[in-house]
Amino acid sequence: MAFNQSFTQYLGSLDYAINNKDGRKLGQLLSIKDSHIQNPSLKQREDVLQHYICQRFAPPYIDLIADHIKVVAAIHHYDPRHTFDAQLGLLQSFSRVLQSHKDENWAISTMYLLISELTALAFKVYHYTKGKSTDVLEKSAEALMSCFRICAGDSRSSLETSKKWGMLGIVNNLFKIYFKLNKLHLCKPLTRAINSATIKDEFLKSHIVTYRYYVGRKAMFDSQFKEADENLSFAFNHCHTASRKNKRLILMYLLPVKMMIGYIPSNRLLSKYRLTQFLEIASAVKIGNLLKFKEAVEKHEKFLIRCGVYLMLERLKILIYRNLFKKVFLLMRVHQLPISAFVVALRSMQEEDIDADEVECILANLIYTGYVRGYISHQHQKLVVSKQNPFPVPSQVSLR
Amino acid sequence: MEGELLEGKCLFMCPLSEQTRLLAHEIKAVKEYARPAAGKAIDLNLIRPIDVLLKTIRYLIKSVANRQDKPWAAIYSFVSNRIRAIKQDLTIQRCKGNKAILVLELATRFYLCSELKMVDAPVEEFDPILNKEQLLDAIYKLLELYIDDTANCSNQAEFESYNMLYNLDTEGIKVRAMLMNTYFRESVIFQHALRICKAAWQKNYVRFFKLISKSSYLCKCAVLRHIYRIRREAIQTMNIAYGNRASRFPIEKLAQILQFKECSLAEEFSSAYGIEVTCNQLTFTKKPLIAFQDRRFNTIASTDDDISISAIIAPG
Repeated sequence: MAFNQSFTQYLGSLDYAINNKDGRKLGQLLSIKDSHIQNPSLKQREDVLQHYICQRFAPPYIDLIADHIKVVAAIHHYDPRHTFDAQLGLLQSFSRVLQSHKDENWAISTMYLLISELTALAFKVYHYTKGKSTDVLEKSAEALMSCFRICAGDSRSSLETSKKWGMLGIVNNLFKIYFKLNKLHLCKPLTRAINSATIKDEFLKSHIVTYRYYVGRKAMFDSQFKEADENLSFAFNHCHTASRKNKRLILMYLLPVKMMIGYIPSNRLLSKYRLTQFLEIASAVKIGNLLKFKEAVEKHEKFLIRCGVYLMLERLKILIYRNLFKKVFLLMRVHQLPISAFVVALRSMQEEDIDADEVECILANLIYTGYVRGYISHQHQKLVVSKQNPFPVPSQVSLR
Repeated sequence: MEGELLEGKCLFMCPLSEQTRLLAHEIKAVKEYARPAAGKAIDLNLIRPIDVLLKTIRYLIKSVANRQDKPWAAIYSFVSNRIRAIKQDLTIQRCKGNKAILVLELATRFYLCSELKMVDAPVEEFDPILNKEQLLDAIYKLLELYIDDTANCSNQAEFESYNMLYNLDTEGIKVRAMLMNTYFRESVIFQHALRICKAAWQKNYVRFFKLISKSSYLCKCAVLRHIYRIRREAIQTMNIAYGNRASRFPIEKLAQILQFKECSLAEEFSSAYGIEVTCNQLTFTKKPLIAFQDRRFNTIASTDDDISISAIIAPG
């Protein structure tokens, strides 16, 4: 909508969009990023504008448009919190519009826009208050859930007109919020709902990619590395090549997962996506150098914490121990290795306060998890490794 | 009711009406906990303002908790009940600020101490689920109060440590730990607690118990409830890793690395799992272990039983 159009003309565009069932156009006219926001005719008194709206529209559209006007007013007061509250009200009015649509689903494209803007506003307020107002995130989640229920419950319509197609777009936004709130357990009922949907493979590709990205990240948190690998790899491979930023984001999580399974990324891949921070980490893991690993992690700590991978990297330590101890085995060329040899190896990595008891503990964990095949003899202070395949390839080891 | 701040009018540790009912002595009587009746209006005469609450809890800790003439079970029963009533008054008035922080700090430390002191008490004397509920309630309220810009956060590192240790195995604690790590890099107590947690997360039972033995009394209290599980996981790991017919593992070593109070406890623990013990040596055979739970095996070595509880809870 142009900057200099009158309010009546704005309402006319809305009317046209609704009558033509143009969800996208309607969304644009209700978007806070559209140029119509700056139109001075929208800054008139609310009761005046309400009068025009009631003249032209019937419920439930009256509330929808009136609530959008409230959002515009809040924006002009430069108050993020009020803008959020108003947008929340708008989404609630929209739910009623959506519910009133029988056997039609054109409004779900409007819905995507409204929920994405609501989420963005919630995040803005959350960051503005330095994480104190978790209620904005919780309220957003509630509003999104009620939209989800409307969509998921639309079982009577035919496939073309069903609102079920909107489910995944909503779920992705909910994931985003739950990850921010650090309440990952709330993701489970949503994944269950999506996985049991008959249309689960036919949703929009971009929605599926985002969905798999979050599912992969959740699996990472739950230490389900195989599942994490499957989902993050899918997301990476199917992510549009033009979305460099998104591909990089997926890769950030895929890399530690791949390393956990035993694959070391190539320098070429890391340079292509500007993730060279992982170069030093990957090489430290490969050669089993605990000291270099610790230095690399410390060096990039801020970056790693910010993208939430820091904790994941701690789990790579077991691989480093495995690679280091395998070196000791290859050097000594015997199947009965003295524990003291491992103590020396670790002390050379500046683990000064490590003693034989702790080394035995590390070895015990390696054997228990299957990275080393053999047993420990405490009284002889030796690790006795199997003559056959004592250090199985990490990718073959089924992670507990 | 939003924005309405209530302030209690009862200036005694125990409301007069209750004192009369119990025929209690005015100076020493302390208000009991009573489940709030639904729909009943709040009588401000029964609610104690924050100054009185602080005075009350200090009295409970300094004068009651330290009594040598009564068994700790009786003291716990009395004090935990009265603290629950204090927390109730605190909640009703939505108290904030430094006095509320002090009250909750004392309450949290009390609940923590109780975990250790009552570790092998029967459930009639000590309900671990109720203590946990009260402890978590206190600590979460406390952590919320620290967020305020004007709050006195000099002890925040300490209580974030207890929160982290107590909730070691919960989802989301690692994320919080990393966040708190950025604020408390210089805090000795926090970094030590973080090292304990990392050892637990990495299944390094040797380091875990070694670090615990060097911890403060309250840190030991906070981590106590995980001891059993980590010992069980350790013995499961060892069962596989040392599993060999000829292999022998000295019971003293097990007692030392898993910090059992006595060798005999380590022996009982191993036998209960189905591990053969002969001549003070364990034989691990990779045979699947029997699962069970016994609160006796929650005790740890190096905890002095004779320390002054009130000195721990209210130092200085």
